[in-house]
Amino acid sequence: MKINLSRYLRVLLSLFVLLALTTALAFLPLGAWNWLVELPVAFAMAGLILLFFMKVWSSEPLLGLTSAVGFTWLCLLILLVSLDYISRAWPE
Amino acid sequence: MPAEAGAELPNFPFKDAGHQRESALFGMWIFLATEVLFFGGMFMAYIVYRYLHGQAFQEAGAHQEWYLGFLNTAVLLTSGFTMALAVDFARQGQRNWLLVLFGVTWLLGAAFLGIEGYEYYDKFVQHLVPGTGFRFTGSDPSASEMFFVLYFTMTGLHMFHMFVGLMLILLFGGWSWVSPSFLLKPNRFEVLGLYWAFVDIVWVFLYPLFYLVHPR
Repeated sequence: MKINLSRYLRVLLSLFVLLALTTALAFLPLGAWNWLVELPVAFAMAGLILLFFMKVWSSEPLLGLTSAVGFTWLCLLILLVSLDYISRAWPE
Repeated sequence: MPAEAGAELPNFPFKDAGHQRESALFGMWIFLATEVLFFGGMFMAYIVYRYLHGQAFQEAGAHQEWYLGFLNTAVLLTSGFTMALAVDFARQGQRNWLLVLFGVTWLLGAAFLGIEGYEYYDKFVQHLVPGTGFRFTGSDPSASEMFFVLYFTMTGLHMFHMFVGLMLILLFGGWSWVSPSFLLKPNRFEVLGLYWAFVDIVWVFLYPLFYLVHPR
């Protein structure tokens, strides 16, 4: 196995660029809604770490699928609970 | 009791080294899936509270120092880079590079905990720690207090994971230093690498949610 130093460096550099981007987005005058533009950047950063630092990119398909399981369940949780709060009026 | 057939083979009970490696990583990914759900419950709580009390969260978030979070994110991402390299060197049996990179990773992790510790101290001084000493002037102090409850719970739990990771690096690094044969089973390093990167991923979400709420 060859150690791909340049790939790791490019990933690290991309992560720094995304970090700068998400920080810059936080200063946009969007009122209370900056987090909705910041979170996709966080997902991109998590994806880079997952694919390259955790080596899912070069793993067996079984490991790639397993890595997605927890996140998929979490997305279901967030989606369904959010829908509930957004679509129904809760008594104060 | 008669010995099981094949027990004398080097990778028993696995078919070969590749099978053993895949099984070790598969087990770790299952564990990490439970970790995602463990942290996920708290992320869900954060989303609900922020949706219900957006204004109070904005006011509370204005008390966060975004540049400290920025610095900590940079430190942690760099440690993820050195850890990924360390794992590769461990697999190649290059002990010196492994030890150097483990050392750098450990120092970066310790620096992260130091910066975070300073922030906690700062929160205590400013009376922003939830409880009887909490002082806050804003539109809805109890909702703002919830922001800090979530902040301390989630970053605290993350710090605990970092602490465990630092102890494991110390253990694995020390063991490889004392006995080079520790590197003959490199799967353990890959499992540790996955754990460390996962802790990175959690922080990547904590940073915008707690430091970029209302930066000044």
